[in-house]
Amino acid sequence: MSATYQPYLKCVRSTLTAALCLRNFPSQVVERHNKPEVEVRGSKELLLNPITIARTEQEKCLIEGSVNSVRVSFAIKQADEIERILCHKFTRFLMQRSDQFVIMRRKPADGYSISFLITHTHLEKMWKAKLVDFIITFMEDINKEISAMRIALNARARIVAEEFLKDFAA
Amino acid sequence: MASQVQQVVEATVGVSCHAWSGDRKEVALCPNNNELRILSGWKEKFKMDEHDMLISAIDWHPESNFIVTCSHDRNAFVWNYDEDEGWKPSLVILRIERAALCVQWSPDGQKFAVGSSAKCIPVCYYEKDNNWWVSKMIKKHKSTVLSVAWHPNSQILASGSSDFKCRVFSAFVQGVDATQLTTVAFGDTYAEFSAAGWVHGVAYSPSGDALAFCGHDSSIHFVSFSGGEPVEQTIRFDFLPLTSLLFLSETQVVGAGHDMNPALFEKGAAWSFSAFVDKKTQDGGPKNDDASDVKKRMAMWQAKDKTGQASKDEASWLKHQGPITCLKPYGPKKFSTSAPDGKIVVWAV
Repeated sequence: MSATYQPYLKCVRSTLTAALCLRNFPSQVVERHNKPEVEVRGSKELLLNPITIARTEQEKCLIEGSVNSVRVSFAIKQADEIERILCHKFTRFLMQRSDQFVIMRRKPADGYSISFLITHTHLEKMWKAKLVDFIITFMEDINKEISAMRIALNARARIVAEEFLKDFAA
Repeated sequence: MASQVQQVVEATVGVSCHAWSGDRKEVALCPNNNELRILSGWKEKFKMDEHDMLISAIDWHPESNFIVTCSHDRNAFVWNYDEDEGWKPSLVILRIERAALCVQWSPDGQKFAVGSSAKCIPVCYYEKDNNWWVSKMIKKHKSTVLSVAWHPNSQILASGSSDFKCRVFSAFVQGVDATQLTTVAFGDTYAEFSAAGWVHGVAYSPSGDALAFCGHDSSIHFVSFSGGEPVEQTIRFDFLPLTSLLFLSETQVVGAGHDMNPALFEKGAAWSFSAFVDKKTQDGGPKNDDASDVKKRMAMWQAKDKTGQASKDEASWLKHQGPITCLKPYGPKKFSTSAPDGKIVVWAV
């Protein structure tokens, strides 16, 4: 992991800790509803200013806060065509199973690879520190995974090409 | 500083609010759903599910022994105790179209105020002729009312709202209150104070000379009314925002909220942050005191199993493991808190 990645994650972690100060807040627009304000966007005063933490142009994190929910979106680094395909396939695979991840959104926010939606009910059931840990670990792992997959793919492509070209060399 | 921790419901269930009886032998609590439970000596005595949705606040008046509960289902109930039949509810005509969020009895027990998502405060009082509780509306809010607090004279009401404002109203009701002490009519604003975030909590000092309110911008504001013009003092702190406040005396305020550790503010020449109430003990907290070596190791493996890493959490010594959602007085120099971790903690300062 490069030297600038740790400070980036640290910054995301502390911002998340501050953003995850949520309370139970029933809708003031619709009767008997209790919906994440960050998604509904019913009242302007209940939304916080969104924060973008960017490591590079492609690799950034958007944290949108509100009174009862927070949406965290990550853009994963996609340097070349292969990484773009890998990232797309990988996040699609995960997001199709978003129910198992509890806080994952089925669709990422515009311009981002993957999004999480954390509401106050999640904070009531889970420890906040662990939740933040999960997101950070998840991002670390997804990055590692994609680099590993890219290396494996390249190695495989090289072997395949070698085997294929052997026929011509002989 | 002695404190008493009680796990009343499971940590995954949590307590949304609680209130003590006048003699503090009984506690009413809501386990984060539509149930109202009355515990005596931490043993469940009564269970009522008159509400349809989550009970957001409970208040127990010490003298009249009435409990008032309000809920997200837009209703409030006043419960009175009958030796033979137990707790009996009577419905309050709140006339609000949205959820009720907070409730507080006036100090004299004649009225109570309900803060609601309908951007108004119904002030409710008992009407003898019709034998029910009726309400009068205080409007003038631009967003949800998150908290209410009564002045000790029971005729002035302060409110904190998510439109970043704390307001002070007259709540004098003709026919209920004997002599009018307020100079303006019911529902009129005395004063308005701003914060830079949602105002989660307000509290009046025992004399009514000072008002405190806390905002989501990690600030606490003190307003002194002892002179002619109100004088405001703002303190910004570097921990997570407070959500509820309580005056222990004229010179001591305790606040609790997202930091999971109640904070004490004291007044010398001016108000200042004094200390956190939950202190870290030398041996890493009372939690591990009776845990044997095997238990500790088991906890470590369980933590590893759940999160993929050993617990290195620096906050695990705290008594509360969730944001404190309810703060109630508990006798002189004492208060109690509850949180979504299912614990009620009684603190002594």
